[in-house]
Amino acid sequence: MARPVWHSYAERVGNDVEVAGPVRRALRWAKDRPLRDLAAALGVGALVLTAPFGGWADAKAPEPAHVTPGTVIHTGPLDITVTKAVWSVQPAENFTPIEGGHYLLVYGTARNATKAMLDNDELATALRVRGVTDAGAQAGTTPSETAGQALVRQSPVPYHRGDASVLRAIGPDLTYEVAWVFQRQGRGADLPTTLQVEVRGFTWRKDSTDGEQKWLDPTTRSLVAVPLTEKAPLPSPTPTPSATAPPS
Amino acid sequence: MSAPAEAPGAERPALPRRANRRQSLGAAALVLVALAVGRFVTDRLPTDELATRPFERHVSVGQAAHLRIGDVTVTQVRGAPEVSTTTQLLTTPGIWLVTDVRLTAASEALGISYAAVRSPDGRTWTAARGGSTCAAPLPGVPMACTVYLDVPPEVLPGAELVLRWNNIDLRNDDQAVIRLDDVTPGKVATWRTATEPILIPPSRTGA
Repeated sequence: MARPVWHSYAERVGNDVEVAGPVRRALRWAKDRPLRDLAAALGVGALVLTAPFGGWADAKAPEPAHVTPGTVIHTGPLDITVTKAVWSVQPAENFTPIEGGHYLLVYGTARNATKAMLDNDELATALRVRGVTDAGAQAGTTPSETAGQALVRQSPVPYHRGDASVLRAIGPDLTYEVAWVFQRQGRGADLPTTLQVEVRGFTWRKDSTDGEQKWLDPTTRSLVAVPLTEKAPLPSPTPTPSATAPPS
Repeated sequence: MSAPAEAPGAERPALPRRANRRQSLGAAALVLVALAVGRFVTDRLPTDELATRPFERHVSVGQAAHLRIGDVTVTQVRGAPEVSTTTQLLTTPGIWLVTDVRLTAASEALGISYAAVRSPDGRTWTAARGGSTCAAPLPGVPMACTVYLDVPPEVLPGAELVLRWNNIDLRNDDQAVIRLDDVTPGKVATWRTATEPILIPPSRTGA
């Protein structure tokens, strides 16, 4: 049985055909292409056509839930509550007073909900403050490098309120009273009376750089509005490191 | 008259289409079989984690674990809500487990920098908030030192304490696993009511 023989358009109509215009030329060009190329071109064209309708826009993160202070927020590895915030030039004995600046402390609790230890990367990354910028240095002091920057970019240092030690790690099923401590230039008079605190959630997935399973992709999951008050500085700094008072 | 011989380099007649398709299907099937065999074999090989896991020397409190770095003996196990180091008082929402250790380093000044409590259900607590004073021993000279870490009190009965020199790379080397047999719920309850912090002294060499 004779096999069907396919000829191109040019072969069928002859090279001496009068070409009427660009559309016909394009059609003739398209007819000469293999079917695979045409399918790919159609796919690319369809993708381009989605652009005006938002097909190429960044995917929007879901809006964070507004929760009341003290509500337990499940971030994945940690269960976190946020209760209140204070600012102070020296909240506890083991905090060095900041010249022209102050500490901003967000109080709450953190519980490790996993089976293994978590270092304070997740604990520090899980919390940010919104709507506050670094005020920069006061007159007569060196302007800070972070002046004017939103404090939301700053990673806090988590402290254990029970003994004012840096909370370097957190074990499974232990719930610590935590103070997330930010440093800020300026006098603090420009701070609001209510602080917006972001609590971020994580995803347990393989890190593409080293192939290890980790808690990654911090995404704001909840917003907590907590009262922010000033805490009077200690009457006189005590240099001895022992018997530290908690930053209450 | 005989047919002329095929000239060298002449184009050979194409195989029938059906034969071509059979060959392609056969090749694809072979590739699939090879992939399946590879998966079968790799599934049965030990994973890196399993192949490089540390060698464990299981002992009880009071028994020496003979490790590559030397002999490690837990001589006493205590607990309290607070510990006091040379620099600070540490509290915990759980309980501090404090173990007195006798370490005799073999040939190098390698101490104990990794300590962990393992519960029977697979959870692990390390001494990241606590610490170890078993550092830089003199080879051949016994050292008395302390390891302390905080854990939920309810996990201590039936738990094990793991001690090793390296707290970064846990592969291949050996480690002591001490059964906390005499840590009973009653003893833990007593520890929880302690009002005085346990003092964490510096290590003593030659003790």
